[in-house]
Amino acid sequence: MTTVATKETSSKTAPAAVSVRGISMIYPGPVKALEGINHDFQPGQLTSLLGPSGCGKTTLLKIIAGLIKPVSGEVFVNGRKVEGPGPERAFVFQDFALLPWANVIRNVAFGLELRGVPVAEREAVAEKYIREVGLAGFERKYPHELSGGMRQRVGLARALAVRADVLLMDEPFSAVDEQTRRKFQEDLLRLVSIERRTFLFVTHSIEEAVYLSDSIVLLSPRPGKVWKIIEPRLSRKLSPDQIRREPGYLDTVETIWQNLKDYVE
Amino acid sequence: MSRFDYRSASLRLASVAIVLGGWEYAGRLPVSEAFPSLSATLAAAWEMVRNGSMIQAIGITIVPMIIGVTISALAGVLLGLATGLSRRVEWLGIPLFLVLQAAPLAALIPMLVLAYGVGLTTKVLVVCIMAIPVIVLNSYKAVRHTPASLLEMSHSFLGSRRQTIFKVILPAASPVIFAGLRLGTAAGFVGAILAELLISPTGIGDLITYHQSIAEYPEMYAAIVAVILLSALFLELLDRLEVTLFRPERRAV
Repeated sequence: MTTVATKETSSKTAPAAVSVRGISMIYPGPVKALEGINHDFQPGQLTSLLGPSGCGKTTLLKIIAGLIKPVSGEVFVNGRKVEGPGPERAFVFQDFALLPWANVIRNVAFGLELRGVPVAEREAVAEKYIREVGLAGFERKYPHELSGGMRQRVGLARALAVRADVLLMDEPFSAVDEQTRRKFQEDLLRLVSIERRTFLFVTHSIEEAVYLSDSIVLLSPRPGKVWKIIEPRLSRKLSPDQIRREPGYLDTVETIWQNLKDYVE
Repeated sequence: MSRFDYRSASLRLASVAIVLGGWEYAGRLPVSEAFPSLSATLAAAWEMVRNGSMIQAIGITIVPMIIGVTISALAGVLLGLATGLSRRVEWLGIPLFLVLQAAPLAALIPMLVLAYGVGLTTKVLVVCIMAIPVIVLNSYKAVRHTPASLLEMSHSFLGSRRQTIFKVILPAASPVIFAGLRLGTAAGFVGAILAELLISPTGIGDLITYHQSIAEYPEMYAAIVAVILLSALFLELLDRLEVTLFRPERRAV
């Protein structure tokens, strides 16, 4: 652990929370999904992985999560090499992955349940995060009684409840309708500012990435490579509506679109 | 929600009423000498309950049924889980159960009689060979169809293999496992009656054969109705058991 810590100094600022070194992935076919990905993800920031579909952004997130083994390359989280899933990382799934037979509080506490935390303790933690994601009062409801947006809030609370340093979110809002999505994005920004954790966020929406991210990693498609790093630097003092009308925001969206346009055809 | 329940309940009652009404009408026509009306059958059933012959027959029939269905449920679910969880057991077991499910198992009954005689053992075995294949295959499929994202979720939140089996795979599989148990139980009941008709006339099977032989058709139909009711009651109990054990979200609604 101490030996790899020196490797992290390649980044100019603080030591990286997540460090990806030479990751390549080939699926049977063979399909080259990722090729030679190198990137340092800064702690306490929200970084988006953005790119057209098929660029391997979800694959990269799952490799960082330890759910997929890459063909080559290494991932370090807090200087520690990733060999599989670990307690310092938590995943938010695109399709929510909630237990349909468990109520909200059990779903949120499920990560702690798997770690053997006693019921009273884990439910206290779960209640805190249920409140934080705005689901207070729904503790005893079952997933089928909730809307898509609320289900994903449960998924987010579950990931927060295990107190991981790094939250890996795989297109968390893609199965949620547009109005719910905007509200959820604002809530997520508030969570990022109070929770001081590292968020890695996969999305295919340019607006979403620009609105939410401290930093955007633009991936090119097939094989996925790091193509550009964009830092929107929006003032968080403005209201959400002001941000969406701000020239800086609109310009960044436009720049990314101009870059991606060639790949769409 | 309550209005919907009320309507589905009245539809169910209507379905029962149509069948029973049709029966009464056909019996009164009559479509056949050997087809008694509903009212005649009910009268015969009441008489058989009063003179004790029905209760006694059920008491006899239910023994191989319950022993056989219990063995089948335990062995079938365990085998099904094993085949679903392990590739090796799958390769070993699934071809056998696929063949057994396709085979007309009633044809094995004479062989079983030869090997185990005409007593309880053979009847229990008949119930088992009818019930086990469908229970095994359903449990197997149920385990195999656990949503991949739930397995991934359990893995990413550091669930052990054991925790994943007990906290994710089993509850996720329980609806299909119980569907298999319902089908298996129904098949086992068919087996129990077949055994009584083909091996040695006892219990309900005896009532059916006896009343048929002396042309007391209302009594014969009363015995058949009794088997159907017994089977329906058993399946309803199984459904309650599933909801209590595995499906809290169905209780909540």
